[in-house]
Amino acid sequence: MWEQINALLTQSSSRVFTGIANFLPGLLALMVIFLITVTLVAILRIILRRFLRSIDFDLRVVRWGFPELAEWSPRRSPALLLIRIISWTILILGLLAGISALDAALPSLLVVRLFAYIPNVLAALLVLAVGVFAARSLARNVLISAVNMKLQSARLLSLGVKWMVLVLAAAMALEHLGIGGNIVMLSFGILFGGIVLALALAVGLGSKDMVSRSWEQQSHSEKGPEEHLQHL
Amino acid sequence: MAEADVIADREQPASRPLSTADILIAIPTFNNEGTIGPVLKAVRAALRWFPKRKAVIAQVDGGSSDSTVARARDSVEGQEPVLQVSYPLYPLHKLEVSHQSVPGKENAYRRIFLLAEELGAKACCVVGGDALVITPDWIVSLVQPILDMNFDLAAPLYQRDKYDGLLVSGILYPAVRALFGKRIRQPAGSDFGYSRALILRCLSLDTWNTESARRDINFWVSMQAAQEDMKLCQVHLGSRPRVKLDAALDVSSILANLAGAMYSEMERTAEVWQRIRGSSPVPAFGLRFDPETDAHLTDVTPMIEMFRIGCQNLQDIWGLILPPAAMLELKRMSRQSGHEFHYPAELWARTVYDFAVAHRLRPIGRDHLLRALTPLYLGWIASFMVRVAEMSAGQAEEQIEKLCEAYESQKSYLISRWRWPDRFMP
Repeated sequence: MWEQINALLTQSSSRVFTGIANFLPGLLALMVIFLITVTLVAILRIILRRFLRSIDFDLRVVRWGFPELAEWSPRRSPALLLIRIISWTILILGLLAGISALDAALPSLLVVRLFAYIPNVLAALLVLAVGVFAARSLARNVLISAVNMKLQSARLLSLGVKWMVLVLAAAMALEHLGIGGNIVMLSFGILFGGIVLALALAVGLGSKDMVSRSWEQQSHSEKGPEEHLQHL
Repeated sequence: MAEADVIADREQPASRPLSTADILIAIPTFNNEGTIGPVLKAVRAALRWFPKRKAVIAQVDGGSSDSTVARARDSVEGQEPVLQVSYPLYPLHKLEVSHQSVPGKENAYRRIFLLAEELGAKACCVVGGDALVITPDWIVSLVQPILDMNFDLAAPLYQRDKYDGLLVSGILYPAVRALFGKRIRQPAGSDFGYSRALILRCLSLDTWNTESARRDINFWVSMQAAQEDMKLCQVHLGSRPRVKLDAALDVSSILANLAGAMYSEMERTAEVWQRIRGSSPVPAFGLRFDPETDAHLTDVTPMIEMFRIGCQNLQDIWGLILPPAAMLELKRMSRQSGHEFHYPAELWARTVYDFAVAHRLRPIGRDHLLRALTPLYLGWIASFMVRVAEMSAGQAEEQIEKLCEAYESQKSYLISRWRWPDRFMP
């Protein structure tokens, strides 16, 4: 009986050790790939940083018409943002390549599914980025126009516009990611409708007098005193 | 009377060689059926002052949809003809909301200058086809200094009340004077006289399609004359009645156009104006009329209110443009009551300069930047109007003179900010 137990123990430990022995090269490969990726990223960061500094990338981004990008970048530097995006993308790709080197069925399946999902993630990120830029630009436009129209609630209007665009962008991004499905669409509809209703109520009730004055002025083509001056 | 050339070819104006002329009088028009007749009449009468000179009258039309072109043709029946020319006009030009009376005016001017070059004209006078009142004296006054005294630019000096032309008095005139050292009281307008040298100089430039030329071509040409050390003069023209502007055109649009034109030109000529110190007077000719005395104070409360709304809501945007010290000053001003509301001249000059620096650095989009200047501009107008309310037109002009001195004294601030913008911002 002891012989049978001994044989079973030997076989099981042998299977374990064989499994570990089979797994170790994959793990080693993962570590090597990851180390190479980290080294590559470090070198790339240095090269990119020097290159972007040499071409005054931060200033160029502003001149290309994206001044808002600086506000959304770490330490107000679009160059740093670009370096970080590239670094993290390469690191994640390296990690995924390393995991696939393990040759384990589950990680490989995970990798395949992750790679298949990447276009959706990229599309969602793009939609979100465009939405954020549009929201900021539109909000600023509404704010300045509302101030120039002497509207006391300029900031409220601007915030309303900003959040409407952000909510729209977030709903579109979630749809691209396949998260939530109909619930997201429904929630978006309710939220969007709610914001519009809130704004309508704010303008209709809260600023009733101002709106009536504004309509009255429009109907009589009345202008502010500054419009009657000859500026040129 | 001047001998006028016999040319009337609207579609192909330069299809055959034109004969030469000493004077070219050009009238840019766009839907001016009500005014083109009297303007042409005044132009023809003016040419009688130059009996020994050969002259050409050109109507440069921007695609009028009314009977402007036909009326111009009819109004000269039996007399010297008018050269009717067209110029490249794109759909975008018609969509533009501009204070300029003619769509795509930069193309109209280029056409006029090319025509002047082709004719070999010694003097070219451009008068607005929308002038409600124009006398032959105006044209004579603008042409004579160019023809007889070898000036390169004859700029208009209009007779106006103390509350008129505040965009020119508060921004364009003081800034141009401080930047280029030439005291041209009206650098932007509709009626100018140009010499052949200035026309050739402008035609040689490849900056006709730049932002400043598109926004205000008259201002752009005046700037070329001011930079190139050309001979400038001014002529008193009397009163110029108001022209009804497009209903869609508000203060913000006019300010954005003119300030944008100036800032773009500043960016292009930074090397030139940084070397210039002080300013010199530009000679003025003609009879000086007494300014109108019936100017009544407009209610400034809405303008101060707009300044306050700006202070409450645009802090974040102004904070990207103005240094903290200026922001504090503005906040303090927003607490002042109507009758004591005062925008100090030095602070206003620095504000205009700060926006120029921001226009160059683009911390926010340029359109947003220029429109964010409106509440500050109206604040300055309100302050100026309160200050000069009890003053005569002459005393109000002295206040403008003091403002100009403030612009000149603050120029070192502009140069420092232009060169080292980060030093002033946290």
